[in-house]
Amino acid sequence: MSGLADQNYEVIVIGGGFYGCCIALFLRHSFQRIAIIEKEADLLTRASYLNQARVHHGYHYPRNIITALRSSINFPRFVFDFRHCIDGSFTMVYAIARNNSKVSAFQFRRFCESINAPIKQAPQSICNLFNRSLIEAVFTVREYALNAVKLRQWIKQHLEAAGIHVLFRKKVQRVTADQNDHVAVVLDTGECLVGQHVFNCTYSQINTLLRNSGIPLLPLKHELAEMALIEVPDELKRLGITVMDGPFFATFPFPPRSLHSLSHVRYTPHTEWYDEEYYRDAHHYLETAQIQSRSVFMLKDAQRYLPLLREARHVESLFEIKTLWAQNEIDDGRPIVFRKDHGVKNFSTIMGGKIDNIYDIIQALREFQAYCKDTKSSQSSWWFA
Amino acid sequence: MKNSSILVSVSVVVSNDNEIVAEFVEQTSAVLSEKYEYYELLLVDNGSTDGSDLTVQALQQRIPNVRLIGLSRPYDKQTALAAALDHSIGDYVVIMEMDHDPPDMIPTLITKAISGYDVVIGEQIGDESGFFLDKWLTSLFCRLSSKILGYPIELRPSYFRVISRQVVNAITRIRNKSRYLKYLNVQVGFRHTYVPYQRIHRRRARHERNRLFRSIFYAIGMITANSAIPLRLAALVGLFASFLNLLYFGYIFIVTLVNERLVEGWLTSSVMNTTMFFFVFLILTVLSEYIAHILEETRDQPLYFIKYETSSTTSIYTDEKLNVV
Repeated sequence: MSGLADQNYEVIVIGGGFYGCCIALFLRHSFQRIAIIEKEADLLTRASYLNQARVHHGYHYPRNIITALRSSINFPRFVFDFRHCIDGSFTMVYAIARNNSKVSAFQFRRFCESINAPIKQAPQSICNLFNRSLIEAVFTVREYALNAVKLRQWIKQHLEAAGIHVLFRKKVQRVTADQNDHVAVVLDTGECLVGQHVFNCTYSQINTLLRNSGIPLLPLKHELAEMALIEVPDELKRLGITVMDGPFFATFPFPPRSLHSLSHVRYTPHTEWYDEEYYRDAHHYLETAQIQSRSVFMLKDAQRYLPLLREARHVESLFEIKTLWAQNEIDDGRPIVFRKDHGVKNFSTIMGGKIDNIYDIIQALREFQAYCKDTKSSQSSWWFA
Repeated sequence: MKNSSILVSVSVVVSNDNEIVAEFVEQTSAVLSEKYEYYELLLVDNGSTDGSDLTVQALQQRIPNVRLIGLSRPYDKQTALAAALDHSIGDYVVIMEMDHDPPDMIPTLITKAISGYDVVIGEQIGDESGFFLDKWLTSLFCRLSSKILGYPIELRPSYFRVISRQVVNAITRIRNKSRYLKYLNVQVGFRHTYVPYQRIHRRRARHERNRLFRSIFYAIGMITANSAIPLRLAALVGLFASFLNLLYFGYIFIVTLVNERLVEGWLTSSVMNTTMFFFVFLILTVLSEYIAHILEETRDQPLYFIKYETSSTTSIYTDEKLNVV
């Protein structure tokens, strides 16, 4: 094939986000030649960088006990494995809104206790920051801020140590079945790579790749999400605040920029669409759409709950595509999507959910003999060979 | 030039207004989007059953910055207004009634508010409706309210007004169950002014049954909810009656001493009974009114419940040209 015989791999992972990289690292136990194909000039640049400013402990999902429970089970493990990438020096606060909240303070507390997530009444000094006629109760919890830049470095080091090839600025056009149940990966330059096992870990581009390859689409929903970066007054610098549970906001330390991120349930999603109803290329849309920032709306609403935010300054807004499994509109869950042999044999599609649920997908991969030849490693920690 | 230094919220209560809601939303958004960079139109669906909510949700696909909050059942107007104020995020909140308040007036009122007023009230000119009795009672109430409540309250049925964030914050902190926006508005203080405006008629005026009685109940409710003066008056009357009773007792005592022939007591005792019962029942009437309020206040439950909330998802389906795939 066009003189690219050396472009044969045992495993090809399409998409160098957090999930793609971790899956490559896990498969390194069983395979020698692994490549990651990344569209951008660096790893973890998109959703892994933007959407994951915190390590969840499950507090966020009082309406989906499975997601909450998995988060809470995986939390200590994640915190240990990625201890160099998290920042635990912030005080994390959950405030329960009085009006229009889907949980009450009592229910929230009970929920946290049922998933064994530590929760405490916040000290008076923190309670006083809130407008108490809009906030029913304030709790402090154990949750950490994730430093996406440090995480990127950590991943890079481990990929290098494991000898995994990363091809940057290469965009995969489509995949097709090749001889011997191998999968051919065709780049938009016309180059062709062949892998025994190919993983589609492209998150918002999953359906784009499936569509170009003539494979049925998955029921995914996309949202164009805006995250405002703000400079908060000193009193709030060491706090991460989430107002639950409804059309409220969260403002969180964003360590890579030494700023706070501000997202709002009502204003962060600008537009949304379902691929099955109306397909579009998410990244292309993000690049071409005329987007007007809604940071003013976010700030104005947040100021009602947290008057100190009147002194906050909007620095800039970051936009990214957020992809969700379409069936989780109602219960708010964030499952990982795993479709083995989807459309083409040995071609699997994986969509990451929450960052700390990575262990679930590793566990799911372990169930398959093909991915787990080395039985010893399956028992031990999978990071360090 | 669009004003980009403030966020304007327009809050409206929707109760079975399907025939006019689309027109209202379109006109208001047109005015707002022309004048302001940042605005929202907040509709509080007060338990409509005529499909108003569906109409608004359809509009949300097309018109940006439209929010809809559905209350779980029809509440009284004051509670719905409280929900509207609670959920508005703007620096200035405009309260309107769809039936007759003209969206074109919004910028005028806002400009007035920016010039240094916390509350700008739209004062309707040429109110041709209402009979003589109606008008007379209205002006009577206005005078009465300034005596009893301490503030003259406009009883004319207009809510069109702009309220600054500061005043909204003050009003939303008051969680009384019996609440009257017009009263709360003046009660919290701040600077007020009036701007005259001409009403429009989006539809034939709804025939309000028993409007006179409703107004009277409204007036009585507002006074008893916010003032203890009637209770004090009742107490004074009671005191006066018991004082009379005391005198009467003295009279009986003296008569008993002076006069030995006491046969005809029927008249006096029945006079006394009727008088005392009159006062007792008068006092009971007033007391029961207050007890009703105490009952409402002590039932510690939220003012209202919200059933759902939706916002504009200005649709991706209309910007095909950007997406050449």
